[in-house]
Amino acid sequence: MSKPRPAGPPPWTDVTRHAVFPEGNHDEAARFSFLAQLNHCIQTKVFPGNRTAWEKRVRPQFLADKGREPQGREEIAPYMERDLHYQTWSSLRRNLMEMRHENGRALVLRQLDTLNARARELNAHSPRLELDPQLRMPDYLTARDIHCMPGGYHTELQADDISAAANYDAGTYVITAGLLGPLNDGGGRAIVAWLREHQPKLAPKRVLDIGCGMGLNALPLAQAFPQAEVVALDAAAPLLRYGHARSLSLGVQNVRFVQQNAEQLSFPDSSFDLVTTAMFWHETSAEALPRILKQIRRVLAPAGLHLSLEQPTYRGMPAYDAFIRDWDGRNNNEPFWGALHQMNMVDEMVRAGFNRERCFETEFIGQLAPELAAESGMDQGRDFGRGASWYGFGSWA
Amino acid sequence: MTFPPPGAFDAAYAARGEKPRFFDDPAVDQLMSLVLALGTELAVTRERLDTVERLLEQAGGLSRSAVETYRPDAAAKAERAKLHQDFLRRFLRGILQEHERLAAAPDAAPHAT
Repeated sequence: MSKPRPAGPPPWTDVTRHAVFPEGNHDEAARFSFLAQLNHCIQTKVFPGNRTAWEKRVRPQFLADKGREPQGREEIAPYMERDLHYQTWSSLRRNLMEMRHENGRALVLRQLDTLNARARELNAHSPRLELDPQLRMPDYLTARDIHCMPGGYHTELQADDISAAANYDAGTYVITAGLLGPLNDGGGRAIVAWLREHQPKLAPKRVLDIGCGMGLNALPLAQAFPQAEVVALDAAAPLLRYGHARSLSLGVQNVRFVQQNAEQLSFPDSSFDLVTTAMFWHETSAEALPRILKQIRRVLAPAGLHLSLEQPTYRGMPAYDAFIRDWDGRNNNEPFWGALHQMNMVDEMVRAGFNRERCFETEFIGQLAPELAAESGMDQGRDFGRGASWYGFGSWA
Repeated sequence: MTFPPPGAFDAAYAARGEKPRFFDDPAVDQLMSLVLALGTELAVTRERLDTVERLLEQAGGLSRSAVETYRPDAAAKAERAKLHQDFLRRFLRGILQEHERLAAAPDAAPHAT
């Protein structure tokens, strides 16, 4: 008789630990496990009802009122926002985000001194962690708390603080339901898989990962290219401290964690063979994006490759699909989300100085564990950018 | 270093940025948050109970199948029925009081908020 397969995500205690991962007591762990199950239930059993509500009652109402199809997600919004199913799903989702952060912050705050002491010890005198206390955080990261994480990425509660990162890392599993893997590094592994499939001969020596956060995606790159030096770059010190300590704890030696604003990179021209970003652009701004692309163009060496992984573009998407994917932009403190997904990234790369023939759009396939892939039950075979595949774009120098 | 804003050491301190409202009545948004938090804590308590039962069983102090097959004797039946009834009186207080008022004074208006 075969062993019964657990439905939904594994318990929080299955997430891979490392030296600066916070510990959870029984109830904190149970709460995260439950919230992950709640998220799974919302995604697989409640979320698809939005499309049903659209098809069965909202779209017919729109057609009756206007005598035509909606011309974009902005026309759909006021109609869907009055629908009970959509209201209920939205409320479930927003409350889930808030509960996830409350639990993560509670468990991190009670062990703040211990965690920060451990990170301080791991990071002491390391030449591979380069912080700049004078760096001014860009407004788009401080104006509001991105994806409802109180304090955002940058707030420091004491000297050498890693609490923002520890909370973020601990709770990510709730939202991704294990689909990014036990190390939350599914994005980085998808980029590596893409390179192996599309550019198997590429052997970069100098890699730059922009907006690295805690270095989740930089580590698979570093492990895939052990001869390379990977620079993991971000503006927020708490994330970099945590990322550096985490990488040492996981035994990855070839990553440097550097604090800079990507709009003004300090590296000389042609410094990198490969520049990557993963889930980065939607947390920048309309002003910053072209500047950052120009920096990427500048630091990319001849024959170098820039590769970016993002949430899906709205271009070419039916209006309803764009509307439903816009939820985070409107309700989860992701202010640049909608605008970014409207942009033509090939045009933007050309504006930044890349040759149009050397720009492309692509798809990154997620490397899911088979049992999780089967259980994820995504809406129409693709989820809203958190599981099976991601949109990508890139450019050759 | 960015100085933490007031309340930053409070785990439940709100994220900055406009808080969305999904329902016509903001009380419904509040009620959803209340009920979801309640459901979460119930689930957590249930998991803790499960842990305690398993540990007790491993230590030889409890048999879980005895829990599953437990049948109350006459005294326990009566006490447990009263437990449920007391709980229901408290749980459904608002609705039961409304019914009582209606029965006592047929032309009375519902209790004002």
